[in-house]
Amino acid sequence: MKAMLQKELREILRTYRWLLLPYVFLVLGLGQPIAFKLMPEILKNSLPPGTTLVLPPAAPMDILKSTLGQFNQMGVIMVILAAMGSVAQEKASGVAAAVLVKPVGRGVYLLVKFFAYSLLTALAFWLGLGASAYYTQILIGPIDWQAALSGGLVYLVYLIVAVSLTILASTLFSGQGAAGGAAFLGILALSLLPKLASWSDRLFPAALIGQAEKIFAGKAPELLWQPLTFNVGLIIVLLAAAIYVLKRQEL
Amino acid sequence: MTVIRCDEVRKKYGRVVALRGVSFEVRQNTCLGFLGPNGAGKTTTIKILAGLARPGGGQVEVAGVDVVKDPAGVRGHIGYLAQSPAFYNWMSGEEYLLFCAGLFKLPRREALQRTRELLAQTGLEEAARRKVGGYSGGMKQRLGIAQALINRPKVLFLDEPVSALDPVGRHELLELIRELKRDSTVFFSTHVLNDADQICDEVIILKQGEVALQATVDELRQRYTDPVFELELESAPDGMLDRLQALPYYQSHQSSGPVLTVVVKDLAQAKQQLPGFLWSEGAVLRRYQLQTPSLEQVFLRVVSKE
Repeated sequence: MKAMLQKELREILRTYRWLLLPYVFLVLGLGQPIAFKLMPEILKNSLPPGTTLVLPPAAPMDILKSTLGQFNQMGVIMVILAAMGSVAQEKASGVAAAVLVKPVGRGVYLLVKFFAYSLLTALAFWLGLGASAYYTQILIGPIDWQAALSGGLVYLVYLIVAVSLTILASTLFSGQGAAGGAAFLGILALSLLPKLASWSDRLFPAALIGQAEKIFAGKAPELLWQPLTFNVGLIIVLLAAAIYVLKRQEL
Repeated sequence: MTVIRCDEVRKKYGRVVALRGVSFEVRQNTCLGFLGPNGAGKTTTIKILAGLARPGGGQVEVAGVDVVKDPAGVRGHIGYLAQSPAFYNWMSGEEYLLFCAGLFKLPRREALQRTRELLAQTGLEEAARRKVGGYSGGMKQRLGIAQALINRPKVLFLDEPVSALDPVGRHELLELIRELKRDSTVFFSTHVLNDADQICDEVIILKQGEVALQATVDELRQRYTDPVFELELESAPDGMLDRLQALPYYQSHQSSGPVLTVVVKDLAQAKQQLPGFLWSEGAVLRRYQLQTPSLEQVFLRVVSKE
């Protein structure tokens, strides 16, 4: 287990995934406060002279909220890109067989990967959100750090769902592209499903985004335990499915 | 002592039957050549033995462990090298071996020592710090052997270890296997029969998912020896051929230049009496030999037999 974890973390370091993912989150995070700061200038220049422009002042926590909106798209895609090959590529090359013929359980093999990529995702996310909050504080106005932290934690669960879904997709397919595509469709399905049944609205991963935004807005989250329990359960189910599948696969 | 036991092992892929009841036993410290034409089920069998694939039916025991019921229990005792070995290309050869040692939970000091030993044994000392991604095919094969040996396995499974190598690499690897068979049972598949001929004690020939034959290399030669003598004569007295034809065990002959090929009906009798006959005739011999088939000829006969 120790050897396997060491290997995963070293792989993330050596193959520059540790630079790429945090870099993307950092750029996305920095972009929001800067864009909001520059918005009046940009608009002023593009309007005919003499026009007076009255913009409502941007609330600092709104900027943090829009940062999450950025993470929803590019962030999730980057998480999928980083983790989609983690199992699929090793199976395709045959190195998975070479490793799993040695005394490493298939469950441990997958859980270690899940852990390593969750760690990477968390690191990238906090870096991005932290940068966004810090520059918002400097450029726009004071940040409610406690709300930023607790809202961020809720949102991070959503990203970890994406990690576990990608690990499952990577286990199901032996092509990286297929795994990435399946993970993307899976995330899409998880965000579309609640539109079909209203009860699922409160539970599915997208509910976490809503809750995080509410926390940012300074409102008390209602029934937060529901989506939290559901999604932590979902992560466990996705990982259990991945382990079940891998245990039945021939390498 | 038996270290590998396969009993009626069956395997289907969809509707394709890969193994239709494979049974054999391999004793300890044997070097076993696992032969068969492409598609006979060699790789499937090895994967089942190594616990990477599940059989559809039958029993498999390796190093005293039931592989089907307890695949985890067998992993500490075996080494496995796949047909096309794969590694983490971003690691160096040394790092990969240390990583493998870690999977077997070898203590740090032992892991370092074992890694150094194996790098030396496989001639990879100079390349130890280089990235595996830049290794040549032969070096990868040798690293593959090294990683399979890290735990001093009781049983070593090698799937076509020499097929992809050039003659020099092949020779080196065969020498390595010859050394290995002193401390472990080596089970290797190949379609290069000459290699099996050189280093194996025993062979199993697999044909269409069934064991067509298992025998020691010597037995095989005996069993498939044709009752044919080849004589090279420096001089032969007149009329010797007529008197040869009158012998009770004579069947037919053929002569081309100084070489006389004699086919006999009764090999045992001919073995005893033919030298005496030649002596009494006063024939001067350059060569006297019973035709022994190469493993390749035996293989072809077993495999093409209906």
